[in-house]
Amino acid sequence: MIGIGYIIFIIAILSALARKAGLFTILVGLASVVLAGAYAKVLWLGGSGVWSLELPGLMGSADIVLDPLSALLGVIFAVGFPIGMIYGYYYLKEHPQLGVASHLFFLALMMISMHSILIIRNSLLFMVGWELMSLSSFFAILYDRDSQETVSSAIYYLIMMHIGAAFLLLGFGLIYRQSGNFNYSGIEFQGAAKWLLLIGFAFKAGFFPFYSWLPKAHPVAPSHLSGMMSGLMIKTGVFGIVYVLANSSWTMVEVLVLTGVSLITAFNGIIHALAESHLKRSLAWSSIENIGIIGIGLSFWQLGLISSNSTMAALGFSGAMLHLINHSLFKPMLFYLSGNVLLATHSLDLNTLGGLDKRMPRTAALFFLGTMAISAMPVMNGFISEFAIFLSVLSGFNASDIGSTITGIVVGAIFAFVSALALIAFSKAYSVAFSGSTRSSSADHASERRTGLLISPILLACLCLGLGIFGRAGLYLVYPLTGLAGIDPNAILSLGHTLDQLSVILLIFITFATVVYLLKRRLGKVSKGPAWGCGYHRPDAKMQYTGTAFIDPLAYFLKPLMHKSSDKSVLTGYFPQELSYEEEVHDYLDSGIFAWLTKGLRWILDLFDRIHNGKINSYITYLLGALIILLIWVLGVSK
Amino acid sequence: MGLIAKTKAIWAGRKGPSLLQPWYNVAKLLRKSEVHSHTAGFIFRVAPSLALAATLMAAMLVPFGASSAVFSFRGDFLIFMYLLALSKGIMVLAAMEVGSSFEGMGASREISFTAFLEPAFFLTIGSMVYAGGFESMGDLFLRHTVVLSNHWSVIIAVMTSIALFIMLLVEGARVPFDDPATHLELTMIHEVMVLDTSGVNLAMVHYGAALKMQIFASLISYFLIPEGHSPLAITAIYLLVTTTLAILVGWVESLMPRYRMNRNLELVVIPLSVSLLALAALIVRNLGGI
Repeated sequence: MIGIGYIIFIIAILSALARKAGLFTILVGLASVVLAGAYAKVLWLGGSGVWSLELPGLMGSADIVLDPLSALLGVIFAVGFPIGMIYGYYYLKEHPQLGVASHLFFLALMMISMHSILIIRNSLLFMVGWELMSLSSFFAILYDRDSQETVSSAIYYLIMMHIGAAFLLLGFGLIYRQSGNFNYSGIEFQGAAKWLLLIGFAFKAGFFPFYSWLPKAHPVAPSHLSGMMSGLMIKTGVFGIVYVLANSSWTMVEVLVLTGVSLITAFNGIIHALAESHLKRSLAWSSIENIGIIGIGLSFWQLGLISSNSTMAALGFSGAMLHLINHSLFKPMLFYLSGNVLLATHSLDLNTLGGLDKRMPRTAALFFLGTMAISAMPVMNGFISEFAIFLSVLSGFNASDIGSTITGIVVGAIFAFVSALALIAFSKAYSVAFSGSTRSSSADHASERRTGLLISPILLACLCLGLGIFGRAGLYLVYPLTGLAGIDPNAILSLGHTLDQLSVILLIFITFATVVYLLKRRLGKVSKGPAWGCGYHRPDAKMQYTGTAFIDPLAYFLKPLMHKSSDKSVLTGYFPQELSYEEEVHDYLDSGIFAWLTKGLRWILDLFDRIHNGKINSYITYLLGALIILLIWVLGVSK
Repeated sequence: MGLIAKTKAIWAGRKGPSLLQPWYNVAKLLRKSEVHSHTAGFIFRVAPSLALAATLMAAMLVPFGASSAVFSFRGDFLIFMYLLALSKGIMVLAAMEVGSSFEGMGASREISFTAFLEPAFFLTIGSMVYAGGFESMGDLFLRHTVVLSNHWSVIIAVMTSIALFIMLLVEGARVPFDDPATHLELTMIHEVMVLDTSGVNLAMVHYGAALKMQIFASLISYFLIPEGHSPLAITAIYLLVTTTLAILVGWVESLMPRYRMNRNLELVVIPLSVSLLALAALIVRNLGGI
């Protein structure tokens, strides 16, 4: 069945080369349905598929294993890809460029490689799939290759991915030395190998301090691709991390390190999302935050396993997995909607938008739902997973275990802070982009584009709402993973029970709100008037609160953590004509550690530069010198 | 609410409005028609209803005396916390929708508070979970008993009450964090957010704000009520504590000026640190005391 899925994907490549975007989309959908069937069989009918693939030459045979973890990720991909391609189809129509064929070709390669790395358990083949994924997504980003920013960001992405791949390669090499076999299914990872693999996967997932490629690569990719990358592709990194965690044993200190890293990831991600005034970049930062939250859930899973607190382990794991599912739904939705904004206004800078809810009401309403989901407000799905992770943190609060209590206090407080900041960050993004009056003429002339552009966001919004109200539905996907994660199925069942009660409350809440609203509609008459200006009669769009002003009270607080630089021209003369103020928030990783590292590397390479002077006679001298040294060495050794 | 105004007036040497004045206000507003701003969109129309519904739902989760709340299950305090955040978040979005700079200001200040209140509430609940086990909010508050002879128990009770009381002041938008009665828009937080809200919507906003204060007052009083009393005694204590709290709020308002706006956030951290202290005290008690 899986084979059929891949064959349809390969036919899709052919249609891509023929520039048939519509046919391509249909074929991707078909392939996904077939693959989803195969995954669903593993998830719900039990059992896992194990195959062996003969490789040419000395490489031996490769293990292909379809276990519940792969199946869960596979289902996420099988849902995400067709929805993304429906959006992509209309987006490409609206935003035509040269090279649609190659773009679709690389998209298909990306999808195939992402599906395949889930089931490959052979390090050689895995690295091939992993590289294919990085390269094809790199080329797919280059759709808008005319812009300098796109090219430089894409190259940055490529380099980061290869540093990550180098770590993976080292890790797999160590495992090969231990086991003498390229197949690693059923092998317990030990020592340095598990750390190297973890770091390699952390590059893809976007954990601290390896996340700096996300806010560069996601904004420049075409919107359907940024949605798929942020919602789906970084999940392959999480998949790897879960796989490594499940197949190795950890000590308390090591898990605390992981917890700390996840906390820093979540915190850093959200304060940058808060400060960012570019819509897509802010979304990319928030992906980092969400990855951090998933990391918190995963570390509490391990923590629970170590301290034999089965409730904590089960809640942490299922919270992380639920958040994985939920993030793969609401993040692409927000990216697709920001794509709509980009098509309508040609700008994603929040300070040039505003007032879009009157001009693009459907996009605005959907974005509002996405905002609610991403800031974990009840009724939407983000809440369910954060709820589970919070419960996991709280279940560590007990008198007998002081270690997990203190961890719980620190993590719980910071996590609550982060989730409140997420609410602030996204209420800022929504209100500056969609509320109030317009801040530029391009936003003034904005209008809703093709209705096709709304299909995918609507589908995703329905899924978000459904999973948000009936939180138990998501657990059916997580439940088959209990054996693999070594957790107690009963704890998940009791979580399901809690979620049932939650859905009752949420349903009552919705009816309640509707009744109140309808009653209110009957009660009062409504007339229109200008907003209260405190006696000032000519309110202006420039007088509105901007994003920067909105977060100012917090920015004051978080100053030491935000690396800000500003540039302003001072007023001069009696009749000042010009006044400018620019402010930028930098990531201290990017402009600090990485800049420093590159400088060091450059310096070392510069040393070689001097040797490289271009004169043939000096090269001959080098050769001669090298020969003499070799001669001395060989003679010395042979004696 | 009425009691607060009364206390304030008496303290200032006036006679003060009737105790039922807030109800009169709400009744009056219900009869008025609404004026919407030109810039207002769909969120502005639905926000007050949603916020009120969220607050009411949160109120249903509050335990009532010896019997548990209308809804109660393991971990219900989290949905309580998030429902309050939802009601706040949606009002902030509605305020930003108008696009007036005053409302933006209020919205920005109001939502910045959540950033520190959420961890504080989480830790307060956490300290109760630590003491009483992983249960529903009702059980946690019910099980907590103050033993006057044990000084640790008293310290913890006092600290938790202080944390909850400051949360009440912030959530209810009272002095010293916010002044609902000033005459300048620049100096308000909650009130300035709802500048353009009128008629029925405004009535809902006022009722919601009062309800929020009532919720926190109830939490404090149930926290202090010991387990195993007759319903009559519990009702009596409840009324006593809430009345005391209302008078206390009025008293604080009369004696303290509002804090400077830019210092406000630093002060909102107080409940966070107090609840941390309470947790620390609990841990120390469990380890056998100093």
